Amino acid sequence: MAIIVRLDVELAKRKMRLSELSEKTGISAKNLSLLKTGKVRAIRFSTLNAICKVLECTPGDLLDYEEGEI
Amino acid sequence: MKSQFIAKALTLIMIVIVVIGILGILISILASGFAFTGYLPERFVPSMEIPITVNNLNQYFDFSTLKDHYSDVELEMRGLNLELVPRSADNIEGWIYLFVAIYIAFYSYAAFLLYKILRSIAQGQAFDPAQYVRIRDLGIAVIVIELFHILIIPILGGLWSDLTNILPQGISTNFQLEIDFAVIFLGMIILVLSEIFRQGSHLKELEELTV
Repeated sequence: MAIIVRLDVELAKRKMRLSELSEKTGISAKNLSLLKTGKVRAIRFSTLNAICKVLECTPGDLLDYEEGEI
Repeated sequence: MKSQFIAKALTLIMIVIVVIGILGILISILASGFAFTGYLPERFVPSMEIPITVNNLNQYFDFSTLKDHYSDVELEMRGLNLELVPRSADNIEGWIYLFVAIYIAFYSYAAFLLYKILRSIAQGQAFDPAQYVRIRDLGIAVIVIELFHILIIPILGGLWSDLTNILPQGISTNFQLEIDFAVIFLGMIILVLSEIFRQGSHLKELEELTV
């Protein structure tokens, strides 16, 4: 996977659980779990916006790039 | 709710059609044979040509029951009873039953696929990944049924040739090759539709993997 999702790292930094993030953002825990494990094909801007707002971070903190196939 | 009702109604109709078909064949087998269909002119003149459609396979495959025996062929035409004893037409009956069985098998398979398609639509899973495979198979089945139809006419014509040799003078059989391009075209449209469903399924999958 060329795009790496660092959601677990950001959650760990803030000692926040996925269920708590789900409650605060209104995004289902299932979708957040998929996002955390990198099993998604795309992220909506609205999703990214909600997560960044709650975690007080930038999309760059959540996403990373590594050489490789998608 | 409405689509569920339509799906159920269509399923019921299909089941009834298949049951009638099977019953028709069973009756046909029990009656052991099939009949010639034909007609006589208003005034029967022995020397004139009497067109008889011996094959009339459409009747067969429309599941109407036909009556006859190869060992003792009977032509019933407006009270006139004509008895013929063919020299060699031993296996025709078996072939007919085989063809009819294959026909029913294809129709049943097509009906089953249609049922599965309608059921998944009723369940709100129109773009299920398996859906396009069903629609594609249905399209192929429709085309194969028609190709089979085209194929068996000459085969049956050949099988009947022995029988026609001993038919009385003036009576002729008719095996016309009939190709229903509309059915083949319909099958091709279904195949195109299956491709649309395949792409729809892909889009749905993409949508599901977007958070």
